[in-house]
Amino acid sequence: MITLYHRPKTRSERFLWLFEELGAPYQIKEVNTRTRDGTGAVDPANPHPHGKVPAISDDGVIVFESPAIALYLTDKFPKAGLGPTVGDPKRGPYLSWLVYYGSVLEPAFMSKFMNVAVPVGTAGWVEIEQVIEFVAKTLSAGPYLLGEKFSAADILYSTTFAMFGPSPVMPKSPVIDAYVKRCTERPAFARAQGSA
Amino acid sequence: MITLYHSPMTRSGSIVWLLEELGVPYETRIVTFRKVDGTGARDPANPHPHGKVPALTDDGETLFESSAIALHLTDKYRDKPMGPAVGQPRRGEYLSWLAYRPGVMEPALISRAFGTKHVQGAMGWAPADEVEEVLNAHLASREYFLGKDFSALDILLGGGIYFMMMQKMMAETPVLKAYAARITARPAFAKMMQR
Repeated sequence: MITLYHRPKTRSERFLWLFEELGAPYQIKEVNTRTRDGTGAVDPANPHPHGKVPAISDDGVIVFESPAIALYLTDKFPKAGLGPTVGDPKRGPYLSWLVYYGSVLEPAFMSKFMNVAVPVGTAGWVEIEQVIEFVAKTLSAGPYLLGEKFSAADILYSTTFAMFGPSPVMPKSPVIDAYVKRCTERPAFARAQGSA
Repeated sequence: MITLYHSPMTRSGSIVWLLEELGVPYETRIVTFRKVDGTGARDPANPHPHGKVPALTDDGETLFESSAIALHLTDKYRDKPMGPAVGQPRRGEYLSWLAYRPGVMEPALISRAFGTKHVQGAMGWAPADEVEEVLNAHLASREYFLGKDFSALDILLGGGIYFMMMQKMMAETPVLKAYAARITARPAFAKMMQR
């Protein structure tokens, strides 16, 4: 059995959606985490090395960091078709997009949120405007990041855009707005809202 | 054929190191990129979406981001395994640390070096001092990231630890210094320094 270490309204919520898409059995273990206002604390029950969410335990195998969890799960349940497997020609783009989420998209949003310039050439990421331009360009050929087929990468990106969408750190993009709508109209998204 | 889009003394060095460990044929294509001092320009030949390094093409497939490239290579070239395959017991740990390097370790240490405050609950990463604690605790009882077997993690995270200690972005500790000495003694590391 797979356990998701979860705190509602955080980055772990998207994994309820992925589990629903995969049709895989899972259980939720709600944990406490540190928050922006100083409340909350690291929960000793959470196996994440920094007490963050998400993390999963698959019969004792611990996986942390969203791109790693997404890849681990889509490889474990290949029949669900939520991610190209090893040897598929779309595997390279899939891995690249998964890693890019954590290494570029997230830090780019945070640089903007903190109102600091990205140290080009030192940082592994770029300004959020460049990220949005690249994502929108890819989606114009879409409808999804990997082309015709929806994948777990779309869950990471669409939920992130939905989270930052209303805030001034998110550059306006009709292409991305339409993409978020397309992704979150899926039945599994609605089911996940019910299980949260 | 594998082509690595590379610039010496940058993050793409770790992919050279990995390719040397794997013992697979490859060519490097040296590209320019934008530097922190404003010099350098993006090379149109580089397939990376932002003109950064590394990027890699392998039989027509294009990959960007170090961890994605490393995973592609270690899954595809298995004569000298440099990481657990899908379904092997340590796969979860392997994927987690591969994601940890660019998603946690790098942004944490770069943010500290540039004086950006850490906001708990907002950032997807952790404060730099906590990252140092986690790495020291993990490596204090292990020879390599996955225990007794050297893997691509020791190139991506280990190489990062080595260079960040050298640049004074990460605190030197006896544990990390001994670990860095262990991994940089490998012949493939010396080969990387020549490319």
